[in-house]
Formats: sequence, C-alpha cells, structure tokens
Amino acid sequence: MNRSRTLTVIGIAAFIFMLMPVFIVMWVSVTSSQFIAIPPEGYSLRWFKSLPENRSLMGGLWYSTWLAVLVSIISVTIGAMAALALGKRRMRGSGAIGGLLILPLILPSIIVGIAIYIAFFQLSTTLGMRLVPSTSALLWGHVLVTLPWTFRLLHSGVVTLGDNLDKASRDLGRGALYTLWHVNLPLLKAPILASFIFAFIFSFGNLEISLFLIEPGGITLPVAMIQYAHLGMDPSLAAIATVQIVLMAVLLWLAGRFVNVGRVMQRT
Amino acid sequence: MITTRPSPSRTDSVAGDVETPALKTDSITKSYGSNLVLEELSLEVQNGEFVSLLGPSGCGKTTTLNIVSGFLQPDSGAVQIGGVDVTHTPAHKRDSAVVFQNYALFPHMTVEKNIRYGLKAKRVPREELKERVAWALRLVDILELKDRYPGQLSGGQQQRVAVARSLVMRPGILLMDEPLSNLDAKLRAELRLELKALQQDLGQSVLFVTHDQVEALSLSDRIVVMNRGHVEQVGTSREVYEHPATVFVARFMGVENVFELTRDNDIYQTAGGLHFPSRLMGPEVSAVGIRPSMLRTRAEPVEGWTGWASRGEIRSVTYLGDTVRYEVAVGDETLAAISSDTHSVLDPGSTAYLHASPESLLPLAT
Ligand SMILES: Nc1ncnc2c1ncn2[C@@H]1O[C@H](COP(=O)(O)OP(=O)(O)OP(=O)(O)O)[C@@H](O)[C@H]1O
Ligand SMILES: [Mg+2]
Repeated sequence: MNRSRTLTVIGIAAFIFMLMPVFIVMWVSVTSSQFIAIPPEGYSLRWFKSLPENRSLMGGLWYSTWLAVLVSIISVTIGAMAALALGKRRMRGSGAIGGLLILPLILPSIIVGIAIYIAFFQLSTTLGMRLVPSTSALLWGHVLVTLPWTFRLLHSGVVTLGDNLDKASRDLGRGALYTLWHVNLPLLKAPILASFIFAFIFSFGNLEISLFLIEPGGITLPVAMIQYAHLGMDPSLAAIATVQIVLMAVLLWLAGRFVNVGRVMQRT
Repeated sequence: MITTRPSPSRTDSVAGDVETPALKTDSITKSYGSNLVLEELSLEVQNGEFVSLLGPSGCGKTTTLNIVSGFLQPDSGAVQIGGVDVTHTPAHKRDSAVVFQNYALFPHMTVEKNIRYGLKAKRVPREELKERVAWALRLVDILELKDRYPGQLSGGQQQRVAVARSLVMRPGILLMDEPLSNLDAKLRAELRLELKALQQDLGQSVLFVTHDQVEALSLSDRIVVMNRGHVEQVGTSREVYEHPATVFVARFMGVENVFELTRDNDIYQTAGGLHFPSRLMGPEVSAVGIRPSMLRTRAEPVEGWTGWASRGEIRSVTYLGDTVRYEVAVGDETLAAISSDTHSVLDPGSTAYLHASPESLLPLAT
C-alpha cells in the first residue's frame, strides 16, 4: 500500500470513529425493546411515538428551543452593534477589543458558568434579591457564550462590506439610521442569518452554563436528559438525541447556505 | 448618444448667480498626525465651470474631495457651496454629489432604485421623481438597463449609473474622483467626450480629480495643479500647458528639459555648463524649461538664428514612427529632443546643433 492510500484509510477510519456516537444513538433509538442494547433485538418507531408523552424531555425540548430563540435574537443584536461599531473604521484599539470579544471561545464553558454564578450571587446579596438561579441569568449566560460566534461572523461581514456604500448613502442625503436600515442590514443578511443559526445551535446544546443557572421549572433539554438518565436509561433518551441530531444537521445545512461553515469554525 | 432633454428645474438647490462660485475652499489645512496633507488650499469652481484637480498620487486630491463632500473635517479653513458656508454641515446635508472612483453602487438595488435613492431623501414629489429618474436614465443612455443589478453591468455601464445617480440630484457641485481610471483606454476616451458634452449641456459645475494630464487638459475649463497639499498653479488648459509657472508644473506637463539657473552678468548658466543669454530670458529667472518637441536638432547650425542654440553630441536615437527622439549631450547636461524629420536622421556619436526659439524657453519658478 502506498502512502496516500494509507492516509486515506486512516482518514476514513477517523471519520467513522468521530461519527460513531451519532450512528450508535440513531441506531438504538429505533429499537423495539424496553432496553438499550446493541444490536437492538428488533426495530420500531415506538420510542419516537411515545416521546410527546414524556413530560420531562418534551418540557426540556420546548424550553431549550424558546431559550435558544431569545438568546439568538439578543446575541445577534449585540453582535451586530459591536461589529458595526468596530468593523467600519479602523480605530486605535479596535483590534484589541475584537480580540477580547473572541476570548471567551477558548475558555471552558464551565468556567464561564461558575463566573456568572458567582457574579450574580454576589450581586444578589448586594441588591437583596435573588438573581441566581433564574431564567434571566440563564439567558444572559447563554448570550455571553454565543456572542463570540455572532460577533465574529458579523464582524467579518461588516469588514468585507467596508464603508464605501455608507459614504455614498450619506452623500445622497441619507442619515445614519436610514443607511443602516436600507444599506447595511440588507447587505449583511447572510451573516445575520448564519450567526442567528450558530447562536441557536450553541445555546441549544449548552450544558455547562445551564447546570449552574437553571431554576426549578425551567430545565433545558441537556439538563433534562441528564436528570432523566439518572433515573434509568431507556431508549427515549436515544430518540430525543436523534431528534436533536436531525435538528442540528438541518440548521447547519441552512447556515451553510449563507456562509462557509468550515471557515467560520477554523478561524478560532 | 447625448440625448439631453430639458432638465428638471433646480428648485431644491441654491440658484447660483454669476458672482457666487459654485464651490469655494478657503485656505483649508489638514494633517494626519505630523503629516501635513493639505496646506492652506484655496480653490474656486464658478457656476457651470469644469475644474480639474490635477496632481501626482498622494498629493491630497482625494482628501480635498472628502473635505468638500463632508466626509472629513479640515483642521482649519472653510468650505462654501453655492455661497453657503458648509464647513460644519454634515455630508448628507450638503448640496454636493460624488461620483466615486469605485462607483459605490448599491449592489442590492436595481439601477433605477440606485438612481432614486437620493431623490426620495429630498422629498421630491412622486410625479417629478419619476420624471427625473427617467431623465437621468436617458441622459447617460442606460434606460434599457434600469431593471438590472450593478453586478450585471460592465465597468463602463456602472460608471454611467454612478454619474446618473449623482446628476439626478442636480447638485450645486458635482465631485468626481478619478471616475475613468478603472476603464480601458478606448472607453476612457469615449466617456471623456460624453462627460464633457453632458456637463456643458447641463451647465453643471464640476470638480474633477485626476492624475492624468491628458484627461485634465481635454476636459477642463480650468486646471488646479496640486503638489504636496498646496496649489502650484491655476489656469486654463492652454495656460497651464504652454506657460507652466513652476518646475513642478512644467515636469508634470511633459517638459522634460528643466534646468536650474545661476546668473553671471549677461549669461544664465546651469550646473552642467549650458548657457542662456539673458536677453532671451527675463530679468529674474531661476529655472528654464524646454519641451523636447520645441528643440530643433540639425547637423549644421541654422544660418542667422537669433534664438538659443548650442552644440552637442547625439547620445541615442529612438525611432518612434511619426517622430525621432534624440538624447543630446551638451557639456554635462543631457537634453531630450523630438524631431518630426524622420528622413534625415542623425547618427549616435555625431555632432548636433540644438535650436530653440525665444518663446519656447519657459521661465520657471523653483
Ligand atoms: N486616513 C489617513 N490617515 C493617514 N494618512 C492619510 C490618510 N488618508 C490619506 N493619508 C495621506 O494623505 C496624503 C494624501 O492622500 P490622498 O488620498 O488625498 O491622495 P491623492 O492625491 O488622492 O492620491 P491618489 O492619486 O493616489 O488617489 C497621502 O500621503 C496619504 O498617505
Ligand atoms: Mg485619491
């Protein structure tokens, strides 16, 4: 075997290894038995059909969905404002601020979770009101971890756009707000939609921050799955995981229609 | 192709009379850090006048335009448009319109929408708006392109859209930053003619930025020659070309033979040993310029020549088709001469006599 053939084989093996969990989860989700087993004793969709009656998992699914939508809206809004402020003109220090906004990407989320918890807890005692755990703390925690992604995507969009068209618009008698609405935002549609999807994906899948900040009655799907697993594994977990996998795949495909996903992930 | 219709009335811009210039900058100064980019720059564009701002790369042309259009604030000095001081007026409230070098068309809007963009801001009534857009589209001959997007147009077509988008505003002053520099030579020449005809038909006041002397000479009523942030000379095309005031302007206008002079009684001398009798020059001349095409190169001295003459040696000969170009050494100086006599070409190494009439010796300030 020559060298490139060997590399190809290793590459395919690594790929299969990486996707193994996905295959396994999807595989066991279509079992007909009561228990998780590989290979399944028989095949059926019964665990998917019974999902809607599973209150804890379904509750988590809806809660996470709404949370992710809200988080995405806030994160894209803040990210867009920061990107427009920093990307339009070269100011002293804009590079540094841009760098700082990306920093949270390399911090383990658990640290961010602890930090937010401590900060909100301190604030609670100072203000004399309970801020953690709470839905709003959770919301801001998620915004915080998704912001580097939305900012990065939007910033590169804004930089590509440049300020030529802003000048043209102003020259033709249009103020800043009109220019933003009719020139910048329409032309940033692709990065806005893509960053919305990315924020959604990262919020939806986040466990570490949620663990610290959720309040009773507001349980996100990943946390709900852990709690469910503690009570005993059954194929419902595999079914809900499969639902999640399909949802993420669809979203990534959608995002890929607006931006080059591979490039976004690379430039960390 | 210029199909000029009666232009819509200019109700919304300052009606200019002959006395108030369309544009006036009053000793504007601008520096970036310690880099002085504009130094007390004053210029005027009269109503209906086409003025070019001509100068080498980096001399501050775009900076001047940015200050006039309101994208930059001068450190000191004032800008007037149509007699109104706009020094502190934001860009979107000035009666000026820019044709950008890269056109800056809105890529997500059709040609027609691009052209309407500025008019809607002026709250032009619906009927008039339609009329004016149609007028502008016809004016630059792009009526059939009105539903296309800028990405579907050639460079020349985009340029027309950019011109139409600015002209439809009927601005008090139209500013153009090297609008033809992205086009190939043939198209440039064509558009140059169209632009000039259009400007004259409309009586549009224009400040046109370029570093191309041919462009400036062929388009302008007056040329402002700039060098390192200050004005070197202002004049008509003919004045600037035939009577450059300074060494810089002369060189920029293709006067290749430029020599600094020192005076010794009746004779001006160059460092390399050229002599010019003072009767042919003025009383106080610090440099002289001679166009290569104004030098007559002969194998023998011309009998009874009363102008300037000098003996030298041919260094090189370049055949250029219509003309022949000589490099002639006189003392330690080398002069370029262009001769239209392509039949009796002198050989390199041979002796040559250079002749120049008194009018072709251009007295220059340094
Ligand atoms: N934002 C800026 N910061 C610092 N220096 C600048 C800036 N913009 C321009 N300059 C400097 O100012 C000088 C004039 O620039 P300007 O763009 O006006 O030149 P120009 O005459 O338009 O040249 P060109 O023909 O190349 O377009 C240049 O030396 C340039 O380096
Ligand atoms: Mg320039």
